[in-house]
Amino acid sequence: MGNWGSMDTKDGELLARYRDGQVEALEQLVLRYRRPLFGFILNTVEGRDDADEIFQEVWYKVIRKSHLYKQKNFLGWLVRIARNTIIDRARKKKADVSLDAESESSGPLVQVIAGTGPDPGERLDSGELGKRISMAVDGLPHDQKEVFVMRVQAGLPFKEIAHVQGVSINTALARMQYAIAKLRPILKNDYADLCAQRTGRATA
Amino acid sequence: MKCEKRERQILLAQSGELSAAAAREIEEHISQCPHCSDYRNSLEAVFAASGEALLSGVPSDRALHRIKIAALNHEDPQPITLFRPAVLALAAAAALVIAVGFWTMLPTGATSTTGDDLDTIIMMVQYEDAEEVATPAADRRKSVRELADELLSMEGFAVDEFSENEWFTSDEELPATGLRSRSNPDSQPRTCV
Repeated sequence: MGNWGSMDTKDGELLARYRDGQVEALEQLVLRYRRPLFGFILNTVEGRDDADEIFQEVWYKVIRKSHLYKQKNFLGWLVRIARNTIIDRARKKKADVSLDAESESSGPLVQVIAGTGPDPGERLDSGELGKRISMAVDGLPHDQKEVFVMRVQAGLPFKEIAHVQGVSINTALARMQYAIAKLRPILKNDYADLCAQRTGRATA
Repeated sequence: MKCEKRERQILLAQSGELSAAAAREIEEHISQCPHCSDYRNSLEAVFAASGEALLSGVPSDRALHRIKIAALNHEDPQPITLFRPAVLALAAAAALVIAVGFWTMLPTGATSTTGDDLDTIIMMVQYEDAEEVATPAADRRKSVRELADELLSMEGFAVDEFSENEWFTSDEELPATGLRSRSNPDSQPRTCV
């Protein structure tokens, strides 16, 4: 990719510049949001190849629909496009999912999305604690996992998460509370170490 | 205030979505409430551990390259979409033209009203009644009779001597009626083997 301008430039301005013909402006946006967006996609779908494809598809849609951008939070818009793209792909795969697998608590579409998560054993640089956490995250109901990933991995505020999911901010907060409540017991014996690590990083 | 609500405020404070005054208030509460203090600590621990446990990374260079190519080739940032008003109006106009075309191409009878249909049926019935007088069978019979009359008159017989029944009792009787014998009374009647 090319040279990148100031990171302070607002997303809306960069998009406007792209519409005026400056391709570098779009490249800047891609680089700015590649980590949080790709992280969200990677933790929602199966495998890096799929994540790569969806990442591309999201930006193709941004290119085609750049004139529709009116939100304040560009990352929220990206995540919303990514989420819709993932749902569309899951719908296409839905035919392959046996109806017998449908549980009472969640529909087949949710299972297709939630069931395609990566194998915790394949995660990179994960220690024992990391594996336990990732397994616990994968075991969360889809809506809760989505809120958790959007908050932790993509760094979206709850207001934006609620907008992406099409729910109230209280619902988004409640989902996060449930997710935290399920993950807390796993970390019970590791609090001290983690807090020490955090304190060490903060003072460093 | 219930701790559940405080937990939500802690979450909002952590995401930076609380006002400065509300953030100060919750900090004061945390300093006095062991439950909320423990919740905040566990929240931070979960975030720290999950941040490392969750998959992270960047898209491949190939994906970034393809996006760049798409961005370069994108000449019209506002492509024609199916739901733009101008496109919808154009589609509606085209549909109208096609519909009118089909309407004009339809046969008149198919487009007439019930009254017109009735008139047409009456005309057809009347025409059939008129035709009944001169059906093809009657025409054939008439022309055969005229031919026979002509032949008889050529042979010197009076046409009135023969009744219609003699001519048309059956197809096989026609030659056996003795036309030859009548035309040539000297000759013997032909006998069929």
